[in-house]
Amino acid sequence: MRAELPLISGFEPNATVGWAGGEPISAARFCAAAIEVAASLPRRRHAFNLCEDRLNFMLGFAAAVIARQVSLLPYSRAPGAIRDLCGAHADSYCISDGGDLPAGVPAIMVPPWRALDGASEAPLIPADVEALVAFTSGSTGRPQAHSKTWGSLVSDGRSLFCDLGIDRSGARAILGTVPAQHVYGLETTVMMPLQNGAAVHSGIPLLPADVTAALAGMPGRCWLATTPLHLRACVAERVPLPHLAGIVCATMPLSSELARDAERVWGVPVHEIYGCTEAGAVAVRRPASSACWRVRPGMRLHRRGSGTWVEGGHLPNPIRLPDRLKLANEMEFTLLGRPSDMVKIAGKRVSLEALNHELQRLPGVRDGVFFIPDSCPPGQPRLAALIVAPELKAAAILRALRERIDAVFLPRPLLIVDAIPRGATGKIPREGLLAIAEAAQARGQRSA
Amino acid sequence: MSQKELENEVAGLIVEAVNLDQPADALDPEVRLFGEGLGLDSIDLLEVALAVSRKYGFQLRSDDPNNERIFSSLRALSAHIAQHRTR
Repeated sequence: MRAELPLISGFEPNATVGWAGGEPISAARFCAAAIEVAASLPRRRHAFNLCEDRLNFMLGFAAAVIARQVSLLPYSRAPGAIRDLCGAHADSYCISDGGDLPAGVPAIMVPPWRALDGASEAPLIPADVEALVAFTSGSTGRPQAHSKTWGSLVSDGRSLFCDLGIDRSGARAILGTVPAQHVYGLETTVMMPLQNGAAVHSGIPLLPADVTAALAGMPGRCWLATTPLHLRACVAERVPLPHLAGIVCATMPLSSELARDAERVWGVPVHEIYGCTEAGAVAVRRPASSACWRVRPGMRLHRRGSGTWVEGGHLPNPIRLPDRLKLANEMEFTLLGRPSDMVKIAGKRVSLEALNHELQRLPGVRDGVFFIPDSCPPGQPRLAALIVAPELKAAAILRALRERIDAVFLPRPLLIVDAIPRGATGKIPREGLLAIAEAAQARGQRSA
Repeated sequence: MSQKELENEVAGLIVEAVNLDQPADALDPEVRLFGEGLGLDSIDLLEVALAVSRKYGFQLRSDDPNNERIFSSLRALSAHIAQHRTR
């Protein structure tokens, strides 16, 4: 018999799943809504979930998995990127709650909550159903799909609460500053709460004052799932964070200083997750007291060839990790960094090769290369690009790139040059690249 | 401080906060700050908000219903700062 797992574990009909415009939505109402929406979805195979409101995202995601459809999480919201992914996933459409939609792709809107007022038990979903595909940019410029089964997502979300040391009897609510479309956001603000009877704030606060206001609106103690960028801003402002029970951080390394500052300012623990789109959350640590990462219970690391692989836990198959790790033993490691071609900005990972590929295929661009300038402050990388395009203006190139790549990777500065000196193999030495960039920038300053 | 002076000061603050590759006095006060225009994104907004709070002593909100207007241009942001600054 096929194993089945419920949409909500430890189902209590009256427990709050989240709030829609301030109104609590109960678990029974959420389940009934998901079943109702599932019945009305287009009969297609793949659903891009573009909902910005977290509760709407959860509803669309739950409805899709009940209808045995696969939710696609785009790695970029650039309309061109979504159109490409739709092309590669036949039979796809978008589920939205009102944001911009890519032209030429069919879309439906999630219904408003006032139209959804039934009650139901938690539906059961076979564990081996493909529930989700997340994408990384891949090294060749072609997005790579990473598929997850319902069973894997449930197992991940169920144990994450405990692995983070969150006391099940204490705080039962989560606020996230990361979108649900990011695998870390999905784990901490969708699957973990659904599988542990916790409630979720529907917003995505960005600025410190927004985080304060969102927490103040929660009825009780609440965990904050955030990133080092957001946390740094909150610490710098020393904003009050009412109801705060603890902080979870991921997407880029959190310094022990920032973690200690945060623990001092708000008097709560700061936990950090190491993971990746391919494997989800792999290890946790409390950076204020440990530089060493501890693999989640049930998971194991091992070296094979030049890479490190993780297996066990929620993973049906071993996964090769995208980072370089130094293993202390099977369970503990420190992070050494990423392969030099990979950059990560605002939690989004991309290879420079993939960006170059997008740049070079733009009409009117003869040659182009992305690089990380030396002037970047550590922890806040921004990319620069040299471009040979005699007939184009920088603004036009940026406009075309914005269609293709995520905004966080747009080059700043974008320098138009006469030629890029490539060696016999087509490789560009970094010194040569920086020298041309410097010269182009000096010219630009003079002409400005 | 005149409107023009404040706009220049805020332009300098943005250029420094987000490491923009153009001189502050070359910024058109009517150019859009986010998306097309200056091309700032949400990470930049975090930096700009921090700089504004340090210099002018009040905190920006990204979920302010007037945000469309506040962040529409350097001129609009400067006017918002003039209205809410505590120093």
